[in-house]
This record gives sequence, structure tokens and C-alpha cells, in this order.
Amino acid sequence: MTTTFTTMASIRFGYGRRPGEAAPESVDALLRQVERGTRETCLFPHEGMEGRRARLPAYQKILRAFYTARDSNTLEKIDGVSVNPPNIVMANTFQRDRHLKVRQAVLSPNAFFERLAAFWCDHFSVDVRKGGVMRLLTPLQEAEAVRPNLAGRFADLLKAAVLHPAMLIYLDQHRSVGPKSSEGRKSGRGLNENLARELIELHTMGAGSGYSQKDVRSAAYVLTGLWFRAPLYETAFRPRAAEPGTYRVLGRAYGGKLRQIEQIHDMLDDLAAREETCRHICRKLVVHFIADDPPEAVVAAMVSAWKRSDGHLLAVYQAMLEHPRSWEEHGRKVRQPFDFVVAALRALNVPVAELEPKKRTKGVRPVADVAALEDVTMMTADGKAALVTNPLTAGALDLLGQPLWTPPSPAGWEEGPIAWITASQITGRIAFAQRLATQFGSGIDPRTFLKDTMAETARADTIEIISRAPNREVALAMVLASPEFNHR
Amino acid sequence: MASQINRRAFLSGACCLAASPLVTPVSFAAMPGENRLVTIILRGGMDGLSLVQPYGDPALRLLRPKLALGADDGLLDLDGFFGLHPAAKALLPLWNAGELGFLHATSTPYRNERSHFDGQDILESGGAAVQGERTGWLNRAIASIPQPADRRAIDINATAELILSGDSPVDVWSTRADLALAEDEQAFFVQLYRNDPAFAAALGEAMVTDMLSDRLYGTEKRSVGTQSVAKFAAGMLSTDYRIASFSITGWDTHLSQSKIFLKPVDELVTAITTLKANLSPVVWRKTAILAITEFGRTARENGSQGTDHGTGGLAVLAGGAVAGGKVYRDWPSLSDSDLLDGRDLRPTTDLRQLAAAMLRQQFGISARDLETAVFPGLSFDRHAAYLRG
Repeated sequence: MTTTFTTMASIRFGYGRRPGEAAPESVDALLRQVERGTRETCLFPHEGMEGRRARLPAYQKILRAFYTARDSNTLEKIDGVSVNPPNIVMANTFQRDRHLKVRQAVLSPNAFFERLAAFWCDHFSVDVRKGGVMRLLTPLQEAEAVRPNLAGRFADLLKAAVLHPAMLIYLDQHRSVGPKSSEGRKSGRGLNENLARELIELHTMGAGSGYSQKDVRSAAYVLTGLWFRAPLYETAFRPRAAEPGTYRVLGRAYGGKLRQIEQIHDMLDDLAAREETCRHICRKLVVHFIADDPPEAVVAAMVSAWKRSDGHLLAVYQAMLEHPRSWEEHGRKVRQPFDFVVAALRALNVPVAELEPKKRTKGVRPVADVAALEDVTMMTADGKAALVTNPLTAGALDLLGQPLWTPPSPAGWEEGPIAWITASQITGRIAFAQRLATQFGSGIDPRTFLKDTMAETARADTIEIISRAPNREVALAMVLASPEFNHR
Repeated sequence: MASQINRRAFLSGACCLAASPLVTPVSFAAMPGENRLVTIILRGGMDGLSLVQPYGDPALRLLRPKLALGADDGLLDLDGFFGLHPAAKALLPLWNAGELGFLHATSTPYRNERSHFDGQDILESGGAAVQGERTGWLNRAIASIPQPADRRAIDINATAELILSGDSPVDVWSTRADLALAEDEQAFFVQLYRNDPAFAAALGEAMVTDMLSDRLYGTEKRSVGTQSVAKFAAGMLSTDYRIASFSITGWDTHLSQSKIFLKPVDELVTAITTLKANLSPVVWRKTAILAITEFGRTARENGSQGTDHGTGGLAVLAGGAVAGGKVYRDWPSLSDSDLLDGRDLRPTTDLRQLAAAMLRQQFGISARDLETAVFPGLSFDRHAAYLRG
């Protein structure tokens, strides 16, 4: 059976159907989602972007108070174990944000935009496990650097994402010092190539696309001096740490006697404008949205749109959506855990109140007296953060091996099906489907549910076996665990 | 690619077998005589100077007035120079039987930065620098194992860990995973997946693993706790799995170390003793356990009776297949002038040497493969003392 435009649009280019939500009926409608998405504020950070920025000094204050108390051995102890207030405050904050990230994807009427946000966050991966304040900055990077810029020029998105303090910390750029800079000579510190390598290998040109180790090293020299100012975490340039001199990266010279941040911008603009970058990104988009073995005609159409529009991403998405090959053959991609969990929560229209983190309330009290952070300071009597993981949302992703904002490497999550069709993955998905069916399935007819969620993508044999299921819960769980629902 | 096809073929076979009520997982308990390797990642930076204390080094007490233990505090003498932390007392019988050993003053090539994240990256990728290798050394080792029958590996975690990630197929299973389907329901899911080979194979494998896990746990509550994990690892190693890996967290003892160190040590002890208790003597004799950490901790205790991120540390070796009863070391001394950067135990042995030795001993991986594919750039020491016979 052929799949209709609306079905494809909501499953391949969205997070599946949600009862009561109008499905996009044209390419224009999908593109309008993108334009709306870039303008709207997302739900995280929980106190808003301005709010998070305004609170950063308060977090610093708690950190400093903690270090002072630690050094003078005056930390509060519970059962002989010292209480760690900054850790509790950041754990509570991160719990809020990561539950909001799931909620954002479930509730947003701009599903294609949300899918693009997930794609670009993965492309510009940063990881909360890097430690320190990364639990505060990682959601902020997505909200202020990635989402607002993903429909403009690629060069602008690149600069926003790569120069964000979360990326500078994640890839050690703030530790990189030009060995001949005044700071390098004084401290004996040196170059760290991490960001330079990922910038070329992952963010722009792609591995094996014709650059050399020498280009990476030169790029690392150019990037020296990148810095951020605490406690507000604003990206800045620190000439004292910048390697003096001119460096050639892929045949172009950057730098000079006086080092400035504009030289770094120039290098990023030039990398963004390269042919290899355009091909790498277009291909990656098609592999992510359409098929692991991407139809070359679609890639070619996007490459030419990129060139015509000077790297304008909305035009590139439009070229993908307007190509007939993008609408063929449902189900060539496996839904990754995030996609699966969000689609299942949407399909059952799980109430918003069920998407919150769980709260421990027994004997909780504030761990620090900082008015600005009041709502994230709560600690239990045994010294743990009061907000805990909800197994329906963030917890499901922990179990399914895709915990939020913790990609396995700077290259992001595994894209192909091998990582996602495994024994424990199937077990986890069946268990999650059973849980949702039991908890939210009352009053739902499995045949209607199947039709509403999968429409024409359901195969005859799937419809037949589900119609014979021993009871309603099993039937509903089988819909969510079916091969069709787990592909897009 | 070939190994992937073989695996899929095996799995589709497993699926059909699992669907038959006459076949139990015992059918897979073939070849109990082959070697096994278990890696345990100690996440957080295990303080080797606490677990195996060089009480014979006079500087220890000066550096750690509160944390260094003596015989009166229960420190268990190992060899007249090192003593085992009393929390690990249950391991002493293994030490006496030559089934427990240590490598001290060891570390990966990671230096200077002391970040957990990057330290674990190097520990698991086996590279010479952060992000130097994209895949895990144990995964790359699988492809170099000469006997295809020795290549089955399981990562006991919800998320695949870097050490076993890469091109070679590895099963990942969380001990919390439970295919809670009644028999009739299970039949429906088998039907649901019958026209999708990849899903059918994954379900088949899940049913086999789940059956095994049901038998192992019985009515016990499943958890991600170390005892559950080690018991499951032993169960899998008793079938045709040859490699298992899992993690123990909680080693980041910046504060109140004498108290919070006890829990992860107890977990490590539990892991090793549970493995031994749940492996048959034949399999135990063929098993090597390697517990490793991203870095050691500062030689000096800090102002809050804890220790901070350091460099040189300790690796733990256990199992019937290791040359135990020894603390292997090229001891650098803890005197001020010998400390690395004036603060850390100076590493004198590259941890990759020990890992390579275990791979060589257990699976016969060639020195060439160890030096090029598994640990690129390593010059493998073929005569290391901890290599058995």
C-alpha cells in the first residue's frame, strides 16, 4: 500500500502522530514548522535562557562555599558522609532540564523542527559527563546556539555551536595555549588539538575528505586564545594565550602579528564554505532522515540547493523535502530510543503531568541558602537530590541506552541499525510498550490505535496478529513494539 | 562483515531453538575448557594507595596521616611491603591460593589533565591520547582473536561502554532487562517479528539471554547492583561467551575517604567472589579478571580526609588463570622528589602492557596485532612477569 504524504511527513520527518494534532499536509507546512521552531523558546533550561545565564553566578557561589567548607573541614555530614551542595543543586537542575527535553519533543507542534534540533545537537555533540558546570551549560548550548540557528546559514550555526563555552569545555579548547604566546612561555602549557580535529573531521569536512594532520595542527594554532569569562560563561578571546603568527589551513592563511577572534571566525566561515563540508552535511542529513544507504539523487539536489543559497539550511531542507525519492519506501530507518520513546508518548497522548521528574518529599530541606536557586536546592534527609528520574521519560532513555545529553563520543550517537536492534534493546522496548499500554491504554481500542498511529504503514500480517492478541494491553503493546512502529 | 553474518546466522538459529520448549540454555554450554576474560572498569579513579598500601614506604604515613593504615587498624600484610585494605579481607583466600595479584604504580598514557571523562576515554579506547582511538581496545581485540569460537562478548550495561564498542559484534544486556512476557504472549511477539529478520533475531537472542537470566536469578530481585551483574556475567561465561565487561562506580573519594571508600571496595570484592562462586572450578581455572581505573589519586591526602585526582594507580588481577600471589611493581618511592609533579604516584608500568598480556595469554592474540590494532603504538613486552608461562 502506498503511504500518504501526511503519514510520511509525520513519521519520517516528525515524531509520529499524536491524537488531536493536525498532520502537516505539504512541504510548505513542514518548512513553516522550521521557521516557527527557530523563533519559539524551548522549554529548557527550566528557568529560561536568560534565567540560566542570570543564575550562573549563584551556582558559582555555591561551588566556592563548598570548596571553602571542604578545605576547613566544616562540611555538613550525614552518616559520616559529607554533603555536596553544588552537586545536589546541579543534579536537580539537570533533572528538570532533561525531563523538559522529552516534553518539548512530545508537545511541540513543530515536529520536523524538533527532529532537526535532535540532528544538529548530535552533530554538535557536547556531554554533561565532562563534569563541572556542564550539566548547566549543555542544555543551554542546545537552546541558545543550536535551535535558533538551524534554519539560517550553516556558517552561522557552526560558529554559534562551536564557539559556545559548552563546546570549548567539552573539547578542551579552554586548556589549549599557544606555546609561544606569553601565557604559554610563562606556564609551559601547550596546544590541545581536540577541538581543531573534531571541527574538521566531524563538524565540517568529514573524515578522510582530504585534509592532513598538518591542517589540524595549524587549525589548533589558529583556535588558541578562545576562552570564556566566568562566572557568566561568555565566549571571549584572550590574546595572551593565542599563538602569534600566521598558519595555513587547507591553503589559506589565518592569524598575523596581532591575534584576534575575527581570524577564528574567518577560518570557520571558510571551512563552512568548502565543497567537502556541503557534501558531508547533505549526505549526513539524508542518512539520518531517509536511509542508511542514501539515495544519491536527493543528496545531489541538496548540494546544489546549498550552493545556490550560499549554505542556507532552509533551502537545503526544502530540496530534501521536494525530492520525490525522499518520499519513497517507508521504514528504511530504525527509530533511535529518543525517537521511539517520544513517538510512543505521543501516540498514547500521555498527559503532561506524567512527564515531570519525580519528587521526593519526605524530610526534604534546602541544601543551600541561595534565594536565586531556591527551587533546585532541595535535598532528602539522606543527602540525595530531591528530584529523581521519571521512568516514563528520561528513565526510559537511560534504560534504552540513550541517556539525554550524554553522547558516547564527539561523533554523537550511532546512526545505523546494528546498535539499535539488539537483544536488550528489544527487551527494553517491549517492556516500555507494556508499561505505557497498562498505564495509559484503558478505553483505547487496539484496532483504532493501530490505525491512528501507523496508518498505511502497518503491514497486513501485523494487523492480523495484533487483532488476535489475547488482551487489550498486549495488543496495544504489540503496536508500539511492532517493526513498523520502530522504523520510520 | 563476515563475522556479522555469522552472528546473524547463529542468532536466527538460536531463535528457532529458543522457540522450542525442549531446548534450554544448557545446550549452549559448550566448550567449558576455553579461556575467559572479564574486565571491570572502576570508574571515578580508584585510590590504589588505599587498596594496596605500601606501608613499607616511610613516606606513606607522612603523606597520609589520616588515611594510611597499620596492622593495628586491620591492614593485611601481603608481602612485607604492601598491605591490603581490611575492607578487602574476603579476597585474602584468593591471594593465598595465587588467584589474586596486583600491578602497582601503573597508569594509561594519560597525563596532566586529570579529567575522569578523558581518563576513561583513554582507559577504554586504548589510545595514546584523548580521542586518539574511536573504538574500544577490547572490541578491537575481538577481531584479532585467532579462534572464532573465542570471540563472543557481552557488555553488561544499559548503554554500550566504550571498551567494547566498535566494529566487532558484541551483545549488550542490562541486568535489569526482563522479558516479562507470559508464554502465550511471547508466542505473539515471535509472530509479530517473523517477517523482520533483524527484529526476529534480536528477540530470539533476548529470549535465550532472558531464559538464562531467569534461571540465574530465580525469584531474586534483579538490579544493576554488582552482585546481580557478576552473577549474570558468570552465567554468560558458563555458556559460549568468552569475554564479559562491566563497571563499578563510586571511586571518586575526594571527601571522607575512610568511609566512602568502603562501598566500592565491597563491590569489587563482591564482584570477584561472586564470579568465583558462580563459575565451575574448570571455568574458573580458565578465567582472568582484570579490574582497571582511569587514574590513581594524589599521594597526599587533602584537607577533607580525601584524595584528589592523580596519575599512578593500581590494577587488580584475579581468577584461576592469573599468576597471582604477587604485587608486581617497579616501585618509584613516595618521597617528595620521586612524586610525579610533586603530587602523584609516578607510573612505572603502562597499563596497556598488562591488558595486552592478558589478551595474549587468554586468547593467543599475536604481538603484532596487539601493537598495531589493539594498542596502536605500544611496544609489547613479551617477557612481563605477570604473563603466565
